[in-house]
Amino acid sequence: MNSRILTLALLAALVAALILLGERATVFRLPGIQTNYEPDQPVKFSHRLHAGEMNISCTYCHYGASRSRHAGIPATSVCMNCHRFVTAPWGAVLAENKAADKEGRPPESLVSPELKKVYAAFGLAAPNQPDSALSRESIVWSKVHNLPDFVWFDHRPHVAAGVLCQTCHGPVETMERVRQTNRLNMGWCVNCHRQANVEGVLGKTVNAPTDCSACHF
Amino acid sequence: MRDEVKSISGVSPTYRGDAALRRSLPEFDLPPGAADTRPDNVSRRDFLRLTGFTAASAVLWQACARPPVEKAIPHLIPVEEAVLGESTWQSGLCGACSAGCGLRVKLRDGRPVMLEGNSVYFESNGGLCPAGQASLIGLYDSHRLGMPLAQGRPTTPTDAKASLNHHWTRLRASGGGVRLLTGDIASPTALSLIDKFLKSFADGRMAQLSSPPIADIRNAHRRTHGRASVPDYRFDRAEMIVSFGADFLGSFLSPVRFAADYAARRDPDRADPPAMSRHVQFESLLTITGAKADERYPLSPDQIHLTLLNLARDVASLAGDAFPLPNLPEPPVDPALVQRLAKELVEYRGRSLVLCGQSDVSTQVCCNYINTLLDNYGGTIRLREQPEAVVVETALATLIEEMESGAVAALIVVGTNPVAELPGRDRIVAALKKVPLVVQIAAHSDETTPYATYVLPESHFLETWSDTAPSADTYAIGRPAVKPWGESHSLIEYLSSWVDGTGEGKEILRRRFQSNVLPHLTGMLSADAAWEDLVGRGCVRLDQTKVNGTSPVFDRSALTDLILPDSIALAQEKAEHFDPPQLALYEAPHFRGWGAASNPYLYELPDPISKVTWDNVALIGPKFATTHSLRNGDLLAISPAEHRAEPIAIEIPCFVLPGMAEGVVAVALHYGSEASRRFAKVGPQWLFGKDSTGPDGRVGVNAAPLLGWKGGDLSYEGRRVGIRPVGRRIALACTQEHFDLAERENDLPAGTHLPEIVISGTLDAYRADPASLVGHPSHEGYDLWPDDHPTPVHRWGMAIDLNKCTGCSACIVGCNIENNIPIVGRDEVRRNREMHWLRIDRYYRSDGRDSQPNSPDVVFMPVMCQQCAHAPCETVCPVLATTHSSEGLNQQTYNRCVGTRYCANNCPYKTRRFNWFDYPQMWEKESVDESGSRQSTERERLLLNPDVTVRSRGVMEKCTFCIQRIMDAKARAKSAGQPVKEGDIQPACAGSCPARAIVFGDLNDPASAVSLLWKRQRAYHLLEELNVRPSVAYLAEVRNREGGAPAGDFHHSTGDSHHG
Repeated sequence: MNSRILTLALLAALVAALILLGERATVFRLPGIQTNYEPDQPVKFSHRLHAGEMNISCTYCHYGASRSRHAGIPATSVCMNCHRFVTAPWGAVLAENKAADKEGRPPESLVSPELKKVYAAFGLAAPNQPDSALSRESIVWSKVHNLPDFVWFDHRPHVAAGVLCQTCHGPVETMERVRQTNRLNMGWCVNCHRQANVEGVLGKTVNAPTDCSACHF
Repeated sequence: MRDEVKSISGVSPTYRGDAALRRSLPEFDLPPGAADTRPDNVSRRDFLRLTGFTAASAVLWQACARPPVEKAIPHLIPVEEAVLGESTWQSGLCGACSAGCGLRVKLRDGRPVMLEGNSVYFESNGGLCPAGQASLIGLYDSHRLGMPLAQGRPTTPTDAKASLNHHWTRLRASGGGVRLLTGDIASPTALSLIDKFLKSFADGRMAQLSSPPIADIRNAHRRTHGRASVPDYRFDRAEMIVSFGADFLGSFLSPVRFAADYAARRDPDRADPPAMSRHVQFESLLTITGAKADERYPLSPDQIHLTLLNLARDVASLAGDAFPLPNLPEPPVDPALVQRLAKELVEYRGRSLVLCGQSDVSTQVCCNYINTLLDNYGGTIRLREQPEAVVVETALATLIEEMESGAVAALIVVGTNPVAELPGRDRIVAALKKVPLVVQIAAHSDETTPYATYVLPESHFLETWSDTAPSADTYAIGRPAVKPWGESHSLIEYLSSWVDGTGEGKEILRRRFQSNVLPHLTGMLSADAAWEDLVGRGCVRLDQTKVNGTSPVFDRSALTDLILPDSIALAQEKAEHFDPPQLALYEAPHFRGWGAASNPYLYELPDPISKVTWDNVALIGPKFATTHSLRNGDLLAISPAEHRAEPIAIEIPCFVLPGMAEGVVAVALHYGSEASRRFAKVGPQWLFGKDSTGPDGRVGVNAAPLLGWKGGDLSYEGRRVGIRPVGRRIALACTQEHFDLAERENDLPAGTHLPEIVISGTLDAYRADPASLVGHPSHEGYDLWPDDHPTPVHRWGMAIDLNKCTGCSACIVGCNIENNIPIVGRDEVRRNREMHWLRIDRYYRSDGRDSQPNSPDVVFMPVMCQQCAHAPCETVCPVLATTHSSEGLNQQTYNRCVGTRYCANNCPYKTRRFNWFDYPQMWEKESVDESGSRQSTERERLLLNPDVTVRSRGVMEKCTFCIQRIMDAKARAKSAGQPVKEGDIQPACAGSCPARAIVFGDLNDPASAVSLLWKRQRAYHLLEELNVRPSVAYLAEVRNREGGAPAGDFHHSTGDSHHG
């Protein structure tokens, strides 16, 4: 084969690849690392609003974190604890009330479009308003923080030791859409374990294992 | 020279143009023209460029690829008890056989993934037998019936129910004979419903096809005590046990509870004398019970019968009773032995136990007589309460005659498979065809199904409410863990719907509890509270003082039933002259109960004595084998010796076992079923792979055609058979030669004495000098290993008491299910590739110290990864996939392993297993049945434990001391802010063992059970001379033998008469 032709061909292919992949350059990462992964979710749930502005505790919804290996995404009924009553943003409700007053009619009950999806999962058009056209189906979320299958991560010791959720998951209470901020690779975990064994966590001494079998069995 | 090749430009005019790639130095250049690179010839540089670009672009594409999207789908409304990732445990009742052991069911996301014994349950003491544990797979069996069948076609439950009720109404009016053929039924509720159902007809009776020798024990007790029930045997109260053919640790009645009680009395270190019980066994074939006995005498069934009669006479004379049979012939053993036993038994009056496992009513009556003379009734033997319902029974033989004569209008078959399990298949089939209405209640289609008018799907025991009376004064309930599959129901639900139309299992049991059980409970709160307590715990003790009934007295008229064996001459003959031999058909300890035929775990489990997998064999003794020039695997044709019009013969491979009574051939039952056809392709399908089934497409051979009839019921032993070698040989998948630890002296200087693998001694010698039993090799000189494995917090260790281990192999099944160990199939087992992380080595000891010259001592030793502190495997792994943890464990990291297999090579205990193929593919396979329809095995995957990795091809695996349970316990302890406590962690093997032989715990805690066991004088390590510092200690075996000699050397002898 003609060496020059080959070189030119390869260069051309490389340029084409870069062009094609260019728009994904923002997501460049080594294999397996998913930092800055920020997938779209079926319901535009805002942690900034709920965990930040309203200061709801992480473990109110992610109750699995202290009880089991998986923190878990909450069951949709947890949302309904509040959203049985809260169907629209407060501002919008106030505005509607004012307008209704002015026009001398009863206020419409507003349902925000994102909450409509939550109600639809229960087969409801609005709380207490079943809609036979809708079927009950769980919401399919996209998992943001994914570890490979050969890693057995357990939340319980971390929560028990007092490690803040934000240490690994980043400032979730500032995120409109959840984004993986840390690398979550093995080296990153082991570094923190080594540090914690020396410095402790929030002043408490801990025994953070650095054995292989702590996570790989 | 250099300048000439460094650059293309400036070449000397003797070379070709600069367009060509230089492939060689000028002095090696080819003649002009020959150096032209042809278009399809890639130069090295080009190749590297191509490779480099491909690799770089692969990285780029991979890196710039979207990450794999994983979905998370929560519940809409969460289940309160089931938190994702957490396991819940609930109590239950095992239904794999009629023993009714208590269970704890581990549920994960509402799905049972593991069964263990229930230590709260009085009777089984926390263990579970191999069949019980393996029965979990029956829940997920993709071949289960989901819908009722009518005339072979699926029908709806309402139609089936309506048709059947119509039939019952018609029969109640017309008065036709209604018969119920069942297996063993231990549930009092079921019996009372059966009674109600059958009494609603003019002619309703029940026949039972029981496991041997249940029917005979029941009939004998009906004769002697007026109560047709199997009594409760209390081995924990017995100082002396004499068993005549009863394999009570293996398959007799309730082996789990018996093993627990028996093992509790086998501890030679107990302080109070007489601490250790005495166990004498007379048996025809080598069983695990015989292996544990202090004295063992192999005798043929007739000889056992005669010896039992002689013992009865001697005990009667010592007890001052008149023995009814005068002029009793001499026993086939030394009469002095029988007299000695009689004296010992009388000495332990009230604290002894004489058992008989023969399926013959007169021998059982004799046994009851001896126990009565010894005042054992009320102490070690307790009769059960009179059941409130006495069902009208008929003998099996009578039932078949009635069917043949057309007297049976309806037959209901449940819990048994008469076409396959009764002798004379043609006759049974013809009889079935004469019955106009045959209703079969079963979980699978089996041999009887083609002859059933209606087939109703039966629920698995984990799906239904059930109850049992495990001992004379306890009552147990099992509740469902999952909803029933399809439209299946339990027997009591079907019966209830036929009797009075109502039908939920829970209501039925609750009603009966209210009326029959509650009055017997003491100190109980309200009925609701008592019910909740019972259901939560699973078992409750009844107050016997509230039971209204007198203790039955032995009816002496039963003694007229005592008869001599059929042929006295043969009973007294020397065994070697036995010709034709006698047949003994038995239930193997691991292959018992219903549903074993569809259980791949039980097929692959090595038989506890012969270590044969995937086959049943004809067990023969060494002298018999030599006389007939037989070797392991030779096919024998076995047929009844008496002249028959139509010849019956089965062809079965033979297997030579020492310790067999010469002149006895033993074959295990329940094999060779149609249900086993589906396991043909269970192993990896590769070029040289073979099916797991035999030449007729089934696993094993059905020995039922050789069963005999005696007194209306089946007779399992004593039939004379003709043996004829067929001339062919089958290669058996036998694991006894795999992973051999013996023959260590080969490379050592002559005269080197190594400690034994299994250290054994006698009680007298041990008591005289405990330290003499176990000698520890001294490790002089320096230690090559630096002390670089500190264990600051926990140090996990295990202690295995060889005195308690009965070899039942429940631990192996428990380990398999807990750790997702794949089933590899017969051919792979033959290649030494079985994947069991835990194996039980079975050794024969044959140095002349044995009870009888032809009965060697048999010892069992469970071996798993010893988690060596100086592990030879850790140093040789090139990628550090196996390393030592800070808790003393040798950890195997599957994702790092590249499959060098050097670690397995270096392991002195040979406990490492390699995935030669992608064995777990079995879980994904589809099988094609005879009709050509594909059956997905998807459902069986639900059995997998989600806490344990499923290993793929090329990865080494081994016992991890159930690291997943250790990590879970540590996480829970950390959540609770407590340290891990003793008893928090129990590996699957320790949790399964009925005898509690395996103890696990923290060696850093001086007060833990395992630390205390390590300090015992009987404790030693396997292959201690290697200085690998294992984390497993074995407690040497001590037998309660009179006048014993100190422990000597032993051979690892095979079944062959020559070392194979």
